[in-house]
Amino acid sequence: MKKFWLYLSFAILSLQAIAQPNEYGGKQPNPQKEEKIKALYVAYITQQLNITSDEAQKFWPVHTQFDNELRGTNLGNADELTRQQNVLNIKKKYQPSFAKILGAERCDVFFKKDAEFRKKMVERLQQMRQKRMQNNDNGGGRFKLQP
Amino acid sequence: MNERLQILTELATLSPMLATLQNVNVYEVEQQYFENLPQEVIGAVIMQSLPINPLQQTVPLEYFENLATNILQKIKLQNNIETVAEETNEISTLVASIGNKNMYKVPQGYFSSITFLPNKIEAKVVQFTFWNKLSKYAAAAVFVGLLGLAIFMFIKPKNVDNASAQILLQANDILNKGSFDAELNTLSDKDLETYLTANGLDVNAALVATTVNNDVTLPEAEDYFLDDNTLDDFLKTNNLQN
Repeated sequence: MKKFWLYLSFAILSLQAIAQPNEYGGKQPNPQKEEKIKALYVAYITQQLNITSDEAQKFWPVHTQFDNELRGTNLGNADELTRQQNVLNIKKKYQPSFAKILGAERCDVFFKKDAEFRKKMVERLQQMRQKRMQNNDNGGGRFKLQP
Repeated sequence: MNERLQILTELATLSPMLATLQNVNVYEVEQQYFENLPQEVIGAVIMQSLPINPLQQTVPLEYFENLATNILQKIKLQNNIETVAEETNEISTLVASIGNKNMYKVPQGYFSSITFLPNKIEAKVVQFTFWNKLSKYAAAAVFVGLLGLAIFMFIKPKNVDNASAQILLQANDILNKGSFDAELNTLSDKDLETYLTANGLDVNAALVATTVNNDVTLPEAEDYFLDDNTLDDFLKTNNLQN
């Protein structure tokens, strides 16, 4: 009987470990859509920084590691300030690697364009929501746009 | 010189005859005396020690033919022993008294009185209950689960590599076609929200910040005290909330 409870506890712990909330805060992403956004990101950065194919071969593998570390930090349960600090630390950690590939000036531009891409996504999200709400209002929604 | 004179004077005092003798060797050895001396000495010694000249010694006829029998007969005559039994008796009377008797005998019913096997012990009977069965299945399930997880973890990095290659190809395609905006338009707001959340962005805060940049007037500070729904209303008014 003792063994049974031991096995059961072990099974529950294993299931809990497997069922940890994912990096999207429990929301399951559509893999194809996620891939598309990442492709848009790569295209955006490549275009903005004029990354050559030689540079791309060195830059993107390092960027993948950088991105994985950032996602790991965002997944953690640290408070907001600590999370931001960790994000900054990771960026500082990878700065020399990026600068070695792109040069110091373009490395600085990369961090700006990286933030700019997310801002672009937020703006796009805002447009989509406003458009949806407008459609709802036209169909008898509760709220109206301010003049 | 003085010593020599003193010695001669002393010798003359002790023996005048010796003192008058000249320094002449009075002992003489015959010619070739020492040439065969060792052989001659050994030969003389042997001849003196042997009662009979070995060269003249002979073995009687058929001396070795009955030597063993003769020796035994001589011994028997000395000890007066004729048989083995007599000899045994001479050595140990106790052993002789046993004779040919078998001394190792088992008493009647000896083995039947001994219990060789231990008393029968009843083994503990463990009932194979429902819980016992279930625990085995649970253990098997846990094992299979862990095995599956290990395989998944082993395969996962390959998928990531493939995904990275796929992303780079897609990005190249977007750049070649110049279809950035077109591809962006195919994404839903949920897709974008999920992506931004994964990148550590507080989506609602980011939307508010974007709205502020667009010169939309924020509610006054006291409005938040007067109405708990001020922020919600602001977001809804500006079409920022789901």
